Amino acid sequence: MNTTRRKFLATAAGGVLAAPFVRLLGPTAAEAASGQAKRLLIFFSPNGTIPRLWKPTGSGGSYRFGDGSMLEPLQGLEDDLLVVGGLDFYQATNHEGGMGAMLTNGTGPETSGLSLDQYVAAQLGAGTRLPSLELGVLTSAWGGGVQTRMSYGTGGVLMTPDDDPKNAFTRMFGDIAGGEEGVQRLFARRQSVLDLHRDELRDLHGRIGAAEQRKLDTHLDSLRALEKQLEPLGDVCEPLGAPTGLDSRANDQAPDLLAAQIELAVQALACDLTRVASIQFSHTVSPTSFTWLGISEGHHSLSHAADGTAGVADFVKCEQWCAAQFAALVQRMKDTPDPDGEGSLLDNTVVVWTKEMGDSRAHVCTDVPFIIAGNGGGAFRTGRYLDMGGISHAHLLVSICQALGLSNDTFGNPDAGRGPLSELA
Amino acid sequence: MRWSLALICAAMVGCAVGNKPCPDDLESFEAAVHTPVFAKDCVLCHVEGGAAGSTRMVLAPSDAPDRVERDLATVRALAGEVDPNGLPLLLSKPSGQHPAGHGGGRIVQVQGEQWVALEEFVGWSTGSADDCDLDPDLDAICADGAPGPRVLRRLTRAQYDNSVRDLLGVPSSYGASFAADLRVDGFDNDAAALIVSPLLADQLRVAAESLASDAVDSRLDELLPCEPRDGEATCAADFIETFGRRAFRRPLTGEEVGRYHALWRAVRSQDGRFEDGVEWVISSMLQSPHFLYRSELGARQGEGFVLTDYEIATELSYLLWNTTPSDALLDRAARGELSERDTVEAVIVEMWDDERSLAVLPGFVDQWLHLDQLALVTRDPDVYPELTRALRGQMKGEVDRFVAALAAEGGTLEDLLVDKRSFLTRELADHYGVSWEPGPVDLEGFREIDLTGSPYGGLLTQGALMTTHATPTSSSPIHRGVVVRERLLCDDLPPPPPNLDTSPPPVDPSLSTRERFAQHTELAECADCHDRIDGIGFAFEAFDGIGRYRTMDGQHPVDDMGEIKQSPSSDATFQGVDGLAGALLGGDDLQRCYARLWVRYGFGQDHGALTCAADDVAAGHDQGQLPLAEGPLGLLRTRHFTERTGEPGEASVGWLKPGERFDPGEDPDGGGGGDVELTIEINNDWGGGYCADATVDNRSDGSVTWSILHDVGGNISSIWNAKATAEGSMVRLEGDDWNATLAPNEVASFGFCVDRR
Repeated sequence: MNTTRRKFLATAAGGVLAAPFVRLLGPTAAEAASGQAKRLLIFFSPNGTIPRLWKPTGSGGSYRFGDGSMLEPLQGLEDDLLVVGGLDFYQATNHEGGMGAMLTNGTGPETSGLSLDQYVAAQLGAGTRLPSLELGVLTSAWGGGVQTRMSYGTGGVLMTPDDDPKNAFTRMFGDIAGGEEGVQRLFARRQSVLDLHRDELRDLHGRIGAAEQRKLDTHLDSLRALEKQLEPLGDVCEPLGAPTGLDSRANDQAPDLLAAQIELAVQALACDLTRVASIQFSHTVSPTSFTWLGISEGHHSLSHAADGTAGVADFVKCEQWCAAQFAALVQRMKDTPDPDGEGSLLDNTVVVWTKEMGDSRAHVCTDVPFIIAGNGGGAFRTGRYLDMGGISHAHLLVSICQALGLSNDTFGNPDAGRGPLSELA
Repeated sequence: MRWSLALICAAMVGCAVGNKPCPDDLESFEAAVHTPVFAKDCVLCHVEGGAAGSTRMVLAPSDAPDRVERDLATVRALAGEVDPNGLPLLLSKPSGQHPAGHGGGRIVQVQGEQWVALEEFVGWSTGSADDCDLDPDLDAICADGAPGPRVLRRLTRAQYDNSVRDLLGVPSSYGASFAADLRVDGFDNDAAALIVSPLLADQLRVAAESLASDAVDSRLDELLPCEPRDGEATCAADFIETFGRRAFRRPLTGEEVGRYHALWRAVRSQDGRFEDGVEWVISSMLQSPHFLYRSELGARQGEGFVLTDYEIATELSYLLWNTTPSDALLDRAARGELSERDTVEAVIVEMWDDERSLAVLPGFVDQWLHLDQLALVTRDPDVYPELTRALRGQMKGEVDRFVAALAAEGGTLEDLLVDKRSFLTRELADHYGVSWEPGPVDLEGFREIDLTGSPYGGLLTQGALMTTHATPTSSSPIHRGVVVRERLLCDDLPPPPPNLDTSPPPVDPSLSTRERFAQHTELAECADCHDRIDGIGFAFEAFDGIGRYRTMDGQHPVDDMGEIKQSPSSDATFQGVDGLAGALLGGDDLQRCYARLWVRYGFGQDHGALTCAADDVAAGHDQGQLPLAEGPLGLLRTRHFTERTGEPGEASVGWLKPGERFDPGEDPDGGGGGDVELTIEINNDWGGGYCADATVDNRSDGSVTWSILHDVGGNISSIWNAKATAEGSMVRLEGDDWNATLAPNEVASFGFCVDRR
């Protein structure tokens, strides 16, 4: 179909996009202080935690990540972070319950079961090439299901993360460069193909029952998302290379896959291809073995190891590794200028690291750890560790929405509580 | 609305909604809903202090004297609530369909008996039921063998690859890399779960464009039914009809041919090559809903729907061959042979005897027993260095060959569990420690081996099952007990309750695996479920975490005494896997479960009435004597094979009447005369207006800046890639900057829509 018109510089196997693709943040860049964030980035890693090995020492504005703790790799980033403990998922428990509630807080009149990213995307995503971008690492070996998905769209449709960085790259940049007549023609054709299928779907729609109609509605929505990609993007940024040489199903490549997805998420935000991105590392009950750390036992088994066993030490190593990846993500966001020219990407983005459970050994969704990075355009006061003492995480979800300029007062089930976490400001 | 009705009804005893009385009938609540649902499963967690003790549904403890009354009040208060999809909470939560999930996982099968009971209860409580009959009369449903509802079934990822291969003659592995679908009951082909998500739509487009390009480059001559040089427009129409019939698994209507022909003509006119247009037709058809969804919609007949011959061809082909129907099968559909019972029987036999059906049983077993995870399960390489990727592949190869051979020779469930033959490679024989007689092997190194005298024999002893269901460092009585319980006895287990340390017991050389795992059944909270699991799992203790037979577990002699408890018909104590097989074959549960899961897998839905159909299949044979082939073939004797149900507002499929045959018109560069030629192809006409694709072809020897006065029969409402100006009752059409001036033989393409005056 002659669609490959551009030659990207392929990077070496391992797939990390090494070179910065946009100018680095200059020394004169101003701090953004609009009081409002423009973008949202969610980072997930699975299987809960062991609270006593996770919690920072100290509290409020004087806290630090202890040596040997799960969060040790975040040392040095304290000023950029807002560590929030003591939040509970309302009426949810266990692996599956936690995965379902983490970004939804159940359902309610305001959100109708949408997850945080989809709720925000529905309001901020209309103007961008991708309303939202779901990236994953090893999320799909078990198929889709409540264990393997955290993002929920309209009508409870599971938003499948793209585990393949190369594929994600193509969706982000595939056809926007080379804006010649050929591309225009290609897009016009894709448009006529879309129109043709839309006619076919509509013909079918009127003849079938309600459940099947919903299926076709989802299909029509998906075609609209494709159509969006046919709009010209302009010259916001120039990608340097597509991730290559990665096997998105290989356990042992998880570090390279995650690095590539982090880079793509940063690119997507920096190029304003989307305002809402998520990176899901594996999934609850994750069987991933952190073999690159010399650990062969699966992550889920380790998360349930009893105190005093070698399993706990290995679990801490795994969690430290995840913290190091999060630290790299935060640093990358700090080093990248915001596309609107005001401050760094981190200054204008709410970055949040979420987990689906609190204490993994007890299978509970109380005291679930959250870490926010960046001050959300001034909406949050970073550099603090807060223990909320056991209130619903619905307040945090509301806070994030409000930091992004939305006006909702509840998120999900309103019985969990109304209003933001005022302590974050 | 429903919510308030429920509140009113719950608050008033014996109240009436409309003309429908809602008697406060404790007895019928207890019999129809409380005992079989709430008191059986829900109360395990939904009780004060239980895992779901902080939810709004907290049931009374089982020893409370007013238990039923209290529970009725509790659940009736929730009966009117619906989830974001409009499904009643009491159905969406326990069936795991609620967007926010259900802490206890999936407890109730959609359209199963418990579902039907809950549905009746919700209807009763909210006044929406026709009457207050709380007794879901399954016997009546079964007696009349009602089929399930009409559905569109998106191709699974494997079916996509197989279909593309058969359509285009080029291999495809795109499907395997598509976004994973929601699994329901362990199966990847649930009709409700298979949707086209935004990510999948994108992947489908990439795959279709690339496959179409490959096919045209390498196989155009084979794909074309005609010679383009004898008339391009006609040949394109012929191609669309023949290829379209194979891709959509039915003939296209004249209107459909017209749609794709307009696409062909537009591309042909712009790119100048016949095959470029063909490429886009192929790409577009591979993304069409008519290719992606298998239609099981049928034509209305009375209150129900009857599948068309083409839909039956499709159902047969994907069930038995897992791919798109062959031309020969479509020809039979055209002759009406598939809707006639006498003729279709012969077709089924012929298809079953074809070697393409050999993959049916392996495909089912793969998902039935979760063997599709064999390549992925984690095993500690320090404990099990022998388990290479190649050995895992050979274990899978053994199962595939074993079940395919059994199914082909009429083997039964009993044979599946006890047959003393298998297919091994040299390496696998060494791994098992069974003797290998040199002899001819197949392409992958397998040959049939007689296992008499060895502890191996039957599916339950095979390395694939034992390795898939184990922990990274040891055998696992729990994993093995669960797979038997859930997949051979169809007894779904709830997930472990929270607030419990469920970590596997650490390896401890002073204890045997059995002793380590036995400890948790001593805890009261765990005992109920583990009573149902562990006794079964212990029977596998003579097989280690990678399927090797052993008499010693570390320094402890193996104890593989086992027991099935709390099963309707298979309770027994026994020794080892042979004993377990005997117990399973001695009850009805295995046979019924096998037939039920085949209904699930074969039909892609789990409608209550279909369960009855499965029971009929199982009941026709003595215990254990159900032939494996009856799994798929039994489905073809149910009413669901050819019928579906639908609501009154639903209508027959739209392609039953082929309509007028499409007229392909002139070739884009044939005919003509004059300086420029305008061709208009109306592609959508709704009476009050239309949209059209148009081309302007410069037939002169020199460059032309075109401007054409034309009567479009109305006002132009939108135009793209050209400009329009009204001149009286006519419209002047002119090119955009980039296509206003045409070189000799150059073509400009544009489109417009018109509102008729």
